[in-house]
Amino acid sequence: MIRSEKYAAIREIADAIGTKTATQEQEKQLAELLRGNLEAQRFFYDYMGMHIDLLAPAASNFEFSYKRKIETAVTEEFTVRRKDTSQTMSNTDNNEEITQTRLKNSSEKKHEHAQKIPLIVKYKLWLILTAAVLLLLLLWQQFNQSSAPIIAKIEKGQLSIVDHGMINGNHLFSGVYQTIQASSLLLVDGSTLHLAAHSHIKFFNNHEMRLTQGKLSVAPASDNNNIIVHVPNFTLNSNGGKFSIDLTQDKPVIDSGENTLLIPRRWQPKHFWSFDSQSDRVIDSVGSASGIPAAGATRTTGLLGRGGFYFNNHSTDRIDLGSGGGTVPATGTFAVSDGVTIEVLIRPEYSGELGEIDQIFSKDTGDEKLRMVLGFQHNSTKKHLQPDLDVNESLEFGLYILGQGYNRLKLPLDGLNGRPTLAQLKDGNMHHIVVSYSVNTGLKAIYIDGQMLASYQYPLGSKMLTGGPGSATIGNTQGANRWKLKSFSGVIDEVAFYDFALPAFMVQAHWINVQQDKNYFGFQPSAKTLPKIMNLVLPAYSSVELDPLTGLPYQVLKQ
Amino acid sequence: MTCLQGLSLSLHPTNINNQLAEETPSDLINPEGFEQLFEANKNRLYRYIYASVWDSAAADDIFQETCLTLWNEFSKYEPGSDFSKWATCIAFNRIRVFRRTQNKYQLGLDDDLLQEFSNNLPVIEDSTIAQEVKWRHLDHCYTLLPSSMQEIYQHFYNQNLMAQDIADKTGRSIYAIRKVIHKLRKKLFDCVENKLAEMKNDQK
Repeated sequence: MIRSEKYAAIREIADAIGTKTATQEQEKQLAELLRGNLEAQRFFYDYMGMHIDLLAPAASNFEFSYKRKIETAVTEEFTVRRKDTSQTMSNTDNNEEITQTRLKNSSEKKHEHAQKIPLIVKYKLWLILTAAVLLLLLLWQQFNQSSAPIIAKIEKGQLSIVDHGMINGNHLFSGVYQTIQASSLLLVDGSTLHLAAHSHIKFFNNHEMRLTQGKLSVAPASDNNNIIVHVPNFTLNSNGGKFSIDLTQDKPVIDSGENTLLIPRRWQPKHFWSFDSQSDRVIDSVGSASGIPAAGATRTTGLLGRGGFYFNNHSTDRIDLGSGGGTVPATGTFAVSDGVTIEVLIRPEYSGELGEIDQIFSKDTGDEKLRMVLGFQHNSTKKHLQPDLDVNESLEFGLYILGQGYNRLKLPLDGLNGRPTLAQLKDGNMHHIVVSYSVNTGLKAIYIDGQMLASYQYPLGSKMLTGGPGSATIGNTQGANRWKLKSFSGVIDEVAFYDFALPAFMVQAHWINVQQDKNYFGFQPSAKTLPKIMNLVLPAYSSVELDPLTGLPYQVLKQ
Repeated sequence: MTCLQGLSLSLHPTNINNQLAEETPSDLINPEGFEQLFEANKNRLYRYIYASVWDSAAADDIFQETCLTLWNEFSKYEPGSDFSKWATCIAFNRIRVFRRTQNKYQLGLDDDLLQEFSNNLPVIEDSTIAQEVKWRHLDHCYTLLPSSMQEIYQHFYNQNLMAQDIADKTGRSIYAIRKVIHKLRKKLFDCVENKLAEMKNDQK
């Protein structure tokens, strides 16, 4: 017997709870049916769980925001806010939005504490505590010397202990060290490690360590040895080969061995709609911004994978993605602080006529000011252009940058300087469109089929204002009065939204993957959730510069 | 899982060398660590709370309180230990506090049953299929619903309309609408169960 029949009584009461019609009597009966019956509890949990997930998973009901501020002290802030409120409140007594802040190194707190304890008592306490700690440390060292695992033998050079380390003769134990001069270490497994002077390294064990400063090179003892080195924004696995890391440059530089494996810290988009699911919703395989297609957006064969969407330049052609939990500017999952990338595959049917606008992706706060727009345009209004070019049909990327306002970067479709004409984009093949902006470098760029064909340089560090209450839309814009004007014409597929700027090298790599019928990340196209960790095999025996923010390859310096 | 005897949250003193030897960077306490663990657990936490109190307004309040307690107490979370278990214990205590302080919410699982259910949760969840697998099956199962049911599904689950609003919109009685909602929910549940059983058989 199927479970929903076996536990029909539980199901019926659960249904009544789901439609808010359960009586007190029914709820008492449910409690009795569940008591002492594990299988009944399992069924109830699964059945209610499905209802809750369908209705609104927690991610959709609430907005969560994690912030780190560095002003007079380092503070961390966590905010939980219900999406259905438009009010902004910071009072912790209010239940609609609650913000909690943790303060590290707070001089105020130390001062408060000092006032409560008399100075002489504090001094005595300090002396007693220090003596006790020293005594314990000595005792601990005495009894644990032999049991602590040796990590390496110092063959050359000199290291100093920074934290929790121990050097006994020329034996090195786990801990944090700094090299006083260039040093060579022989690890317990026979691998060798060379560290430049003033390098900062933490040994977790004899094959895993973290380098935070300086230079390191590794030569494993054999093909079977894997040395793992963590660096703040990436991890390298030797995979049996040699490699070196140089953190003394603006961008980290890796000299790879035969099979060096790179695990970047940030590579996933914030949202990814592959369109490969056959659901009534447009599933977001990474975040929780699953969209709802309007009546005119029709499913079609994908440019990659099973599905894509066809838009017919009509007011009902669009996919609404919601605000990503945003309620005021700079909130929600479409609010980004380090940069942004929008990546899509398209087969356009854009007419290019004067006044014609076909939007591929848009997000604004509902007032048309703090917009983020990717699309085709040929309009007579030449306002808000950076650089100020007189162009006709073009691909454009608009963004609100603090201190600059809303400005559009245009890529004229004129066939000059390597740029395609509109006719070339409408050749019936798919084309890879990427737009990006990096706050660190201030570079705004448009790429077609892996090539950067338009860019504009803002002052370094220019921040952007994004997110907020307006809905993000694929194939159109927000606001019913503009749906007819701005609807896309053609096929859109594989839309990805990142909260950082993809390096040009990765844009090219994604285009190469797509041409080999893989998704941007080198996996088979599907609606499956993307994995948390991605391994990139670096080109063998090459010098590769990495993006310091993400840990992704930035460029190959030499091969 | 026993949550009543205190949360056992404090860091146990350990031999620092051994701790360093076993510790990997992914285990270290940092704000990113909290975000990662919390994001992976927030939906299941909400599910647990709702299944315990049977009321969405109460579940929302308790969930919000739980989130902030997790944040405030995160320094006491022992890296490498089971975050889900730790977070469930905190949610369990928040539910009990809520039930005691909010007299109007006396429904849902009573204290004894809540304790029993929470103790069973690791076993119950152990057999729960990964959410993304369920969603994939739900996608397909939705397409198998008759169009009249799909319409009600859209109103109820996508547009979040109440049964009465759907009745007004479609010109049907509220009882008929409730019946359809119950029926489509059962159909979806049975269909997903069926698909999971097929998947299990294929794997054998």
